[in-house]
Amino acid sequence: MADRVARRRCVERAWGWVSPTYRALGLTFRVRIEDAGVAGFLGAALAPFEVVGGEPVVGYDVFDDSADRAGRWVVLRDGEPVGVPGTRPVALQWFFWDLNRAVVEASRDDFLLVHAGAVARNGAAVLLPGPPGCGKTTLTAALLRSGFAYLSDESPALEAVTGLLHPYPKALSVEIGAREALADLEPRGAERPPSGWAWDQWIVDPRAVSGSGGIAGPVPVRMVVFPEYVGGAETWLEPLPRAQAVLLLAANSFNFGDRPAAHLRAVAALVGGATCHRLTSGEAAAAATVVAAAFDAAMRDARQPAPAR
Amino acid sequence: MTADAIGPGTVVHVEPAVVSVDVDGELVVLDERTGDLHLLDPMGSLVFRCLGSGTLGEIAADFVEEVGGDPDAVLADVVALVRDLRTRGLVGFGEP
Repeated sequence: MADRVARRRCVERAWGWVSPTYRALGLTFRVRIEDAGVAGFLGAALAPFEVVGGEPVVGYDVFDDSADRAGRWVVLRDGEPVGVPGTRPVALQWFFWDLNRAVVEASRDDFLLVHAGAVARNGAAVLLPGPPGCGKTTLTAALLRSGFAYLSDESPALEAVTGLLHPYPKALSVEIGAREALADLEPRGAERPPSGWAWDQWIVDPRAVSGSGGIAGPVPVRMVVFPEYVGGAETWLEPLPRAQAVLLLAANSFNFGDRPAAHLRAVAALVGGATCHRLTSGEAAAAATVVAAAFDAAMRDARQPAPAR
Repeated sequence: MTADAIGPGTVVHVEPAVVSVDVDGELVVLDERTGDLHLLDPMGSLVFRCLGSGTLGEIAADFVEEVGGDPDAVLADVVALVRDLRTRGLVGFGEP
């Protein structure tokens, strides 16, 4: 009953902001929100997904559903409720949560989704897989400052058929532990989250990072680095056997088990064309310098002609 | 057959649901029934590739001929590996 009422009220809305069409991997979508006051924040967070033309397949609507405008905000995806009603920032958090889930669901048949950061330059990618808290976003941002282009800080997508890594260029989610290293990325003005925002994250457009090479297109992977943040540690990059990298990549993917044999072959092919490393570091800039130098060396080696027999 | 009864006359096959890929000479082995991945070292990978081609005694003899080593020690290593693979559910006894 409540859902039907929410759907009916949705039809009657005067929308404060209607987004352009966005595309994230296999999901094409748009957003409408009743309150134009958060358009700057939402627009900045979603800007990397903007596409020219195209019809959205999925529509999100975010609005205050209470009859007395008391702040009972809801999120509808194609008319169906997402999460539970709450304050405006809570509704926005449900929106971001569901968007990420919907992107994964729309893409999992075509891609192996790796829990990783990823950047690229000169037509090849560095993949940075790891669990939450290992320093993926901080290292990704530091590499963007070194001129790399952005693929993702969360879930780049490996296309098994081509072996190319596709971007999922969601806004950088800067956790509280990374704020000191990335202090200059703190959102300001209209791009700040709305009052009451509960997540301990800054949402940052990766293209706003000084020195960033923008958003990368699909590219092959030439380097895989498993980062580990250790406070106070010196930066240390060491080779990792490729077979171990296969196991770690499988463990750090969202949907390896969907098609395990095909994904195993795809991951083996990926590491076969890449150098694989473990990285220990307590300082993002130093880590980025070491990774960038190793990546450039790997690219030079890849361009060397094979020795004559 | 029990794992304890494995010997030089035993024939072993890789289970049909097991898939492997070679990565720099090491096999990464997937059991599609469980989704589990296993990593075999280079020697284990070499033996794994030979399973089904003869008895364990014949495989061990071929191994000694190619790589060298004490025949009894090599056979013991092959049997120990097969016991481990059997425990992990990756191989069975006899023809598949």
